[in-house]
Amino acid sequence: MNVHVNTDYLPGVQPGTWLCEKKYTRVFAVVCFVAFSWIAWLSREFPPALNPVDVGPGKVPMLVAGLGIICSVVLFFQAARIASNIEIQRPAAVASGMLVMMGYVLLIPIAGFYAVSLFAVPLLMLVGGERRPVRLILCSAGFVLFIYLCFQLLLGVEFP
Amino acid sequence: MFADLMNGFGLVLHPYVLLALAGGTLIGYLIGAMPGLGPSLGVALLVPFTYGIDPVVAMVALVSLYMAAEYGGAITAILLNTPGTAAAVATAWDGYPMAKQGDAGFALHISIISSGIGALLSALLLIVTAVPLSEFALEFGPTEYCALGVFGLSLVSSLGGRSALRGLLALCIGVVFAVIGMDPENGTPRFAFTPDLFDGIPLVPALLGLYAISEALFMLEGQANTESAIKVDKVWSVPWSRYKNLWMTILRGSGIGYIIGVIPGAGASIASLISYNETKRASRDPDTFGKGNPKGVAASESANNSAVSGALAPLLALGIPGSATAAILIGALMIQGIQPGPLLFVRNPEIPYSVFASLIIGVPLMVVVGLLGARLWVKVVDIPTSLLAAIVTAISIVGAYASENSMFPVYVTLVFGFLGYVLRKLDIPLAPIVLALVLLPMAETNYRQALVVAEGDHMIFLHQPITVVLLVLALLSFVVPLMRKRRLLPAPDSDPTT
Repeated sequence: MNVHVNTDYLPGVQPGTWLCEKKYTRVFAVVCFVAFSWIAWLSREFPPALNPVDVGPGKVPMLVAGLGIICSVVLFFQAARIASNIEIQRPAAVASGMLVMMGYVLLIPIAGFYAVSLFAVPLLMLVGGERRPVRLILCSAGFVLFIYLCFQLLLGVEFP
Repeated sequence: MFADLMNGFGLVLHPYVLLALAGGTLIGYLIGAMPGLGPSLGVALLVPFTYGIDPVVAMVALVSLYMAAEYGGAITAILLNTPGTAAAVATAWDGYPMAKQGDAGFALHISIISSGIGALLSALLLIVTAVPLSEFALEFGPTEYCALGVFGLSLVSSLGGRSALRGLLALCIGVVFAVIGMDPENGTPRFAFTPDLFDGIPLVPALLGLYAISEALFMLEGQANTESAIKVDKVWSVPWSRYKNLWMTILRGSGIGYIIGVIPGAGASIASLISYNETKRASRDPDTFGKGNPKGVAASESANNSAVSGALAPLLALGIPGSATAAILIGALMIQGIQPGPLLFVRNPEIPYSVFASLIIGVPLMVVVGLLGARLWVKVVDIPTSLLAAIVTAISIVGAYASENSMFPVYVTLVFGFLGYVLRKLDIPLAPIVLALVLLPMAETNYRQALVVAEGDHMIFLHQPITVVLLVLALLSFVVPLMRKRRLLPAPDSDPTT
C-alpha cells in the first residue's frame, strides 16, 4: 500500500498518514465504474411502462448510469495529473471511531438506546483524545439525561 | 399578502415561537463560533428536535439558527483568525489585524451591526421578491416543473467544488440514491432490495450522515485549536461616529449579498468575497485592506448575512435549494409533510410569512444577543473536539431514529456518514448528492407526466415559453461556471498546490 508517514510536520502537531491521492482516486473511479455498470444492468431488467408513451422506470437510472460510467472513466484517466496526497491525521482514531459508531448502532436494538449510549459516548470521547474519567462519566450521563428530557419527555419519542 | 404578513407577525409573537427564535439564535451563535461547525451542520443537528413540534415553530428556530450561525463565524475570525464558517474568511482578513491592533471591540461591533443591517435589508427584499416569484411559479405545469428541476440540477457545475467532473460524478451518485424506491408512475420497485427502501432513501437521515457523521469523523481525526483568543473590551461603548465612512459599504454589501444569495449555488461565501472585492475596488485606499480596514469587515459581514435571506427566496418560492443548508431546510419541511415550492404560499402560507416575520423580529434580537455575548461566544472554542464528536454522532443517531421511529434510518445515517467521509477525503463534493436527492423526484415525475400528456412527444418541452427559458437558464447555469473555472484554472482537476 502506498502509505508513508509524513516527517516534515509542524512541531507539536501529530504526524499524519499520507495516502497517494492519484491511486485512491483511481480506485474510487473503478468502484464507481463497476457500481454504475451494475445499475445500468439492473435498469435493463425493469418491466416496461404500463402506459406505452411513458419512458418507463428504467430510463432515468439507465441514462444516469451511462453518464456515471463516462465520468468514472474520465476521472480514472484525469487522476494521472494529480500530484497531491490525502492526509489522514489520526487514522487509528478514525478507524476506531467508525467501529464504535457501528457498534453503537448495531447494539441499540439489542441492549437499548440509553444503555448503549452510556458506553458509546465516552468511548467516542476516548477515541477523540479525552482521558479524564470524571469528564467522560459526566458527559455521557449528561447526554443521556438531555436526550431523555428532550426526546422522550418533551417530544414523546420512544427509544428501543 | 399584507394580511398574510400580519398573520405571520401574529404567529411569531406567540411566546412559544419567540422562545424558538431566541433558542435558534443562541444555538446559531454557538455553532457559528465553533470553527468547523457551519450553518449546515447546525441546521442538520437541530432538525431532529423539530419532529414533533409545530412546523412554524420548527422553521422559525431553524431559520434563526441559520442566520445567527452565519454571523457567529465572524467571532472566531476576528479574535482567533479562524473563520467559524467559510463565509467569514474575508472577515478575518481585516478583522484579525484590527483585533491585533487593539481594536477587537470595534471589529466585533462592526461585524454585528453590519450583519444586522444586511440581514434586515435582505429580509425586506425577500418579502418583496419571493411572493411575486411564487405567484408566477403557480402557473407551472409538468414541463415547467421538470425544467425547474433540471435548472436546479444544473447548479452542479457551481457546487461541484474542485472540478466539474467530480461534481457530475457526485450528481450521478446522488441520482442513483434518489431513484431508489417505488417508481413514481408505475409503482415498480427500483433497487429496493429491502421493503424498508420502498419509500426511497429517507432524506433527513441521509443528510445527517453526509454532514454530521462525516464531520464527527473529521473531528476525531483533527487536532484541537490551541490558539488563544485576543481579549475583547468596549463592545458596547463604540461611538457611532466611527461608522461615518461605513454606511455605504454596509448598504452595498447588503445589496450584493442578497443578489448573490438568490442565485442558487452561489451562497454566503461567494457573496462576502465579492462584496469585499467590490469594496476594495471602490476604495480610495485599497492598500489598507488586509491590514485592519473596518470597511473590509463591514463589506464581508453585511453580504454574508444578507445572502441568507437571498437563499431563502428560491427555497420558499420555487422549492429549489441553493445551498446545502437550504436543502436541509427543505428536508425539515418535508418531514413535517409540507412540500416547499410555489404551492407553499397557497397551502401553507403561515410558513413563509412567519419566516418573513421571524427575520424582521429576529434580526434586532440577533444584534442584541451578539453585542451582549461578545465575550462569551469566543469561549465555545474551548469545547473539546472529542466531546463535540461524541455529541454530534449521538444526536445524529437520535435524530435519525426519531425521524421514523425505526432503526432503518439510523443505518442509512451511518452508511451515508462513512460515504460522506470517504467522498470528502477524495475531494468529491457532497452538495450535488443532496441536490439530486431533493430535486430528482420532482424532475423525473414531471418529465414522465409531461410525456404522457404529450403522448410521448419530447417537443412539448420546446412549446412552452417558460420551460424554454428555464432550460436555457439551466444550460447557462451549467456552462457559465465551467467556462469561468476553465479561464481561472490552468487544467481541470490538476492539483491546485502544484
